[in-house]
Amino acid sequence: MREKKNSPLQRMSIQTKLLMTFMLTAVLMFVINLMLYSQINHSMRRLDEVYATNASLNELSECLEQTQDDVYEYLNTKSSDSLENYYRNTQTLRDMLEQLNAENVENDSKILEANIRNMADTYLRYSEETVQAKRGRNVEKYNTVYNAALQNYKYVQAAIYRLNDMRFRSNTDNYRLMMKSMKYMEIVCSGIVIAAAVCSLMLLLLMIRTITEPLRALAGSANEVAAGNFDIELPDTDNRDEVGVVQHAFVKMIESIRTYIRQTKESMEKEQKMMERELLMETHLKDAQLKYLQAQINPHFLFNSLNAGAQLAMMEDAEKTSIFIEKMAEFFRYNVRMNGGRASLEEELTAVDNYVYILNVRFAGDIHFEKMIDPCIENTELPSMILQPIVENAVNHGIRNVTWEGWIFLRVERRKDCVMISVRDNGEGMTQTRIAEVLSGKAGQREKKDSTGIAVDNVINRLELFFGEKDLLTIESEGIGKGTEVRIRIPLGGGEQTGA
Amino acid sequence: MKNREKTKRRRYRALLVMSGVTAVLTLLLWQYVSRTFGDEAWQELQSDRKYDRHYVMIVDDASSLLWQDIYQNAKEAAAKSNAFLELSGNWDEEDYSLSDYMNIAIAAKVDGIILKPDGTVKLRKTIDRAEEADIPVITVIEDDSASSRKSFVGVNSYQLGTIYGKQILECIDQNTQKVTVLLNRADAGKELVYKQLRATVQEGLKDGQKVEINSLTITPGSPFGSEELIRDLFQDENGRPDILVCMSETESKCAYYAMVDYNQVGSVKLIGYYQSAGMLNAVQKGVIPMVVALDTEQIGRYSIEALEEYYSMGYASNYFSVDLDIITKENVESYQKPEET
Repeated sequence: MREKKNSPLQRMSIQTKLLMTFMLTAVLMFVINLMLYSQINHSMRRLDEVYATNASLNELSECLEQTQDDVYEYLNTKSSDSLENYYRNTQTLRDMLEQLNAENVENDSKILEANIRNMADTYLRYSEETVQAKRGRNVEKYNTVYNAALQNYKYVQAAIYRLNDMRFRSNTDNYRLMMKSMKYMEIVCSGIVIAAAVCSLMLLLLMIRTITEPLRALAGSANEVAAGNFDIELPDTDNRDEVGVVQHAFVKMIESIRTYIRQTKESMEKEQKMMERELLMETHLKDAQLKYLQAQINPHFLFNSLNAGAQLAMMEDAEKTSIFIEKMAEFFRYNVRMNGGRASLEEELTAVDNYVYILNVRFAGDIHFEKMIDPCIENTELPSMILQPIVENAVNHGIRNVTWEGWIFLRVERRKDCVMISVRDNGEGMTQTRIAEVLSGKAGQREKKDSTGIAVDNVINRLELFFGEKDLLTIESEGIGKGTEVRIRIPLGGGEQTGA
Repeated sequence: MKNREKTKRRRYRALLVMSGVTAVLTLLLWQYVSRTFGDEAWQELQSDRKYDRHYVMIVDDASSLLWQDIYQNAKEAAAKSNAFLELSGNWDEEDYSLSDYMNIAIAAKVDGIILKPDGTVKLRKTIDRAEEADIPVITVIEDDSASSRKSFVGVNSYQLGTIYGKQILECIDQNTQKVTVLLNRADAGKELVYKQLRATVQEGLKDGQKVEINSLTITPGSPFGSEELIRDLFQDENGRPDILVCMSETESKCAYYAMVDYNQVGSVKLIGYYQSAGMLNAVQKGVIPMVVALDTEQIGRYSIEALEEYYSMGYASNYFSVDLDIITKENVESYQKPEET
């Protein structure tokens, strides 16, 4: 698996992912609502302002009127109540005036506000003078000043009325603007909500995909596995969510299945090899038999005829001929019988005796054969037709063409875990190259016509197949003219390991 | 596998970019709407530039084009000196006189008054009261030299009379027998103008030529009075003048329409007043021979200069002379604003 830093999204469980998606959407919607409400509240506050300004002006106008009434009342009656009211109202009026704009601002209504403030102040000064003059009973003065105050009062009231009107007009404009803004806000908010919804949807889609895509990939892999393809590239996942866990488990499962399959395959291959070996052995045996049968046309007929010949010789009192023919018949019978390719060592030795006897008859006793047999060789089994071809070779290639007296020594020796058979001659001998050629089976068929036709490589192969071991047959020679020794090692307790 | 991962990553990136763009667009849109309709627009309705001083311009015909023109020029000049100029005299809901507006301004404790006086004693007294309250008063176009005003911005009556006289002489031909000058009683100095006009015309007449010059006085206070009077003048064939001289914007307009209505174009020569679009058009078409125009920019600027001078030096020049233009067919184009042609 690649070494990679997991993104936070990959580390999250499905539950967290879904929760997060929901939360995100909710928060988005919440924020939008908040924005909307704040805007609506803002507009509502403005709407309030629209009326509040008019209302406060009305209050100012009323208070001014009250003050004027109080002045009039005081001048008329000089009552202490009216004076008290006058002072109280004056204070209220002053407080109200404090709220008004006092600066020279480029704004018609604000400048009018400042004017009202100053005018009302002037009015209050006049009214105060009037009250003072009345108190001091200065009739002429309070009349004059009262007139000035009255005139000012009218001006202030007119100004308030005008300001009220102005405000109302601008408020109407504001109101219109506000309504328009609300309308636009509606459109913008709808747009924002739609955009947010689209974003949320895409986010949701993305989240769902991070969940479903690995699942789909996993299902695909599972299907392939089900179809028998174990060599699929497993979906690589860094997700740590529930799907990731399942995927990891799946990957592990596939890996262990692969291992199991590999092991099974290996053991099957082994078995296959064994079977192949067995088959090969059988083939070699068949080959040997075939070759023999080719050499001996209808051996049954032959050895039956030989038997008849032996009996005829007996009747004619030709004892030697009878024995010869009998040995011949025995030799061929052994060859024909062969007992499923296995024979006891004694049988093999008998076959060799027969063969040597036959040859000695043929070659007028030129072949000197000596054997030393260990008596403890019972129950030693080996493939049939092993010794005879070796002896045949010793005769044909060893001593047949030598000028000196040819000897063949057969020696069977029981050892600890094997039986050693040695066939030695004092014939032509062999070079090391020739030995190597013969052992590797490259010597070729240079058999003479009177041979049984079984080559050394066939012997070697059958021995190896029978015992499941190599190097059971060795050839030794000290050189040309120094004779040859063929040794065969027969393992004990082995033989036909394959259990054929 | 790698490709898929790449596509996935690209898709993530695209989504992120898209979300980002959406968010930015939303914010921009929100800001745009807020700015267009929000607090800033709200404040735009109520601009809050603050000024050091507060002046008031008090005129009897505040809604007329002439005064609106002068007011705008003066306001701009005032703004440059960090003063706010308020146009009073248009409290149309109350039947206030100029002296009422003066009283209001005094009560409102303004820093200066620009006034077109009507020559009444009552107004003169309020000018004096303003001076007592340390509020400088500047008279424009018309002067009240008897009052305690600080300065006068305009053309003096003698000069104006001479110019009018010269224009009349220009218009006089052999057939001219009667010249009528419309005078408004509200304009205090117009009598002087008339006298000078008469004198100039008399002097300039060729030997033997006799032209009757009379004045028609319009009494202020009666609404639509001037219009009726002018109509009467055109209706009466015998009283119809050959040259009619107007000294106010409204009268010029009335006379012009009456002249057209009574089909007197060509037979009555009208000397108009103030470069309103209608008058300029008429001059261009040759319906009226000329218009006497005041330099409103100068009037506005000088009146503020006078006040500023007063505040910086403690006194102001007694008289600011304003240029007087005669607009004829030859030079009318330079006065016409592109949208009016």
